[in-house]
Amino acid sequence: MIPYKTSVAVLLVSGALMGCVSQGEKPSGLLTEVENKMTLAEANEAQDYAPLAMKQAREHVAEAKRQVDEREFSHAEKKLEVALADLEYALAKTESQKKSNAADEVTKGLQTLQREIK
Amino acid sequence: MKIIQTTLAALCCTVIFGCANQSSERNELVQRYDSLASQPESREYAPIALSDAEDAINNLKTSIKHEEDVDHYEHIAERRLDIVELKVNAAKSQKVIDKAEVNRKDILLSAREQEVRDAKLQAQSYRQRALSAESKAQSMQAKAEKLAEENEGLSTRITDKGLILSMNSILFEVNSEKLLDGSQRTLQRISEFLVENADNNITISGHTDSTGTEEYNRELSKKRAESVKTALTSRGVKLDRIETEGLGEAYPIANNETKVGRQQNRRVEITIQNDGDVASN
Repeated sequence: MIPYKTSVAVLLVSGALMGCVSQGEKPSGLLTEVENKMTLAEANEAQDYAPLAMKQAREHVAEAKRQVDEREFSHAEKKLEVALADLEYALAKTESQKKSNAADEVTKGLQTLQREIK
Repeated sequence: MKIIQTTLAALCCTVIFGCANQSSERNELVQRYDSLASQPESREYAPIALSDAEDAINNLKTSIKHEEDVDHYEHIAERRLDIVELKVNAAKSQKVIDKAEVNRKDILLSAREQEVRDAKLQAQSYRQRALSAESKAQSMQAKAEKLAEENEGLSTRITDKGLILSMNSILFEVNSEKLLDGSQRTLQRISEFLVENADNNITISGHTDSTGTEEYNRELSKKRAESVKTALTSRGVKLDRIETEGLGEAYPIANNETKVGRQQNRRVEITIQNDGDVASN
């Protein structure tokens, strides 16, 4: 007979290590959304402003597609959720950086104008 | 049996230790969200991003029941919180850009107002100078007219270039640049007048009638102008105020067909230039 404490420990470990069995539904909608977001991010030159996030997003999308092929839909969905967050982060960073650059430019422009007028 | 129990206990510790670490990161993310949510600028500039971050934090909190999902939700929550901060920064930069256009207009408006003020002051200064010059010219003209009245062979007129004192040829010997003795008094009076009005440059122009060759007339007129210049400088008029020119018969003021007309055309004119041509010293 297995002691009570051992049984509890086995249950805990099993619980912690469990996870990869549920397949769920194919995340087609989310995949499309992520791909659209990727296109938008590329068009906005996010590669130049958030290269690491874009790299991670591409890796997550590639991994998700592989998991879809292997019908590991719930895993694929999670990867796509992460990719979506990465892409939205990349887009936000791109917008923020571009606006920051533009603000610096106009501030310098104003300073130059003021100097020229004086 | 003992080995199995020890191994299981170690595994449990690892899992529990891992949970403690994850719990710490989760708490940090929750605190970061609370801090962002409490900032008015997050609600003003990034309400949607803040709402997404809230959802991500709630998912993270519930993921405690599914330890295998914690990394997943932590990553998403971190991204969502970063997005809130980036949106706020972007909005702040946009405010700078929007305000810059207003500032640019303010700077240009201020500069234009200054230009208008400067132009008004300059116009006022020009008006005062013009009035002063006009007053001076009137005074000078009155004196010149009096001078002409008192001296035979002398007349005055006003032109665009300035006041002209015209010396009739009767002051010179015939066909000569030599001044007659009788002209000395007139020249003395003219010199005194020019010394008194020392700010203006002077041009002495010799003229003839159309009798004789052009070349001869030009030469004679130049020599007469030079004679007058010498006479004036010897009486105290500064040399560097004076220019001379021989214009010959080119600028008649009367008909050369008549004796009277020719007499009028034979002349030396002293142009006292307007204030725009003020002497340099």
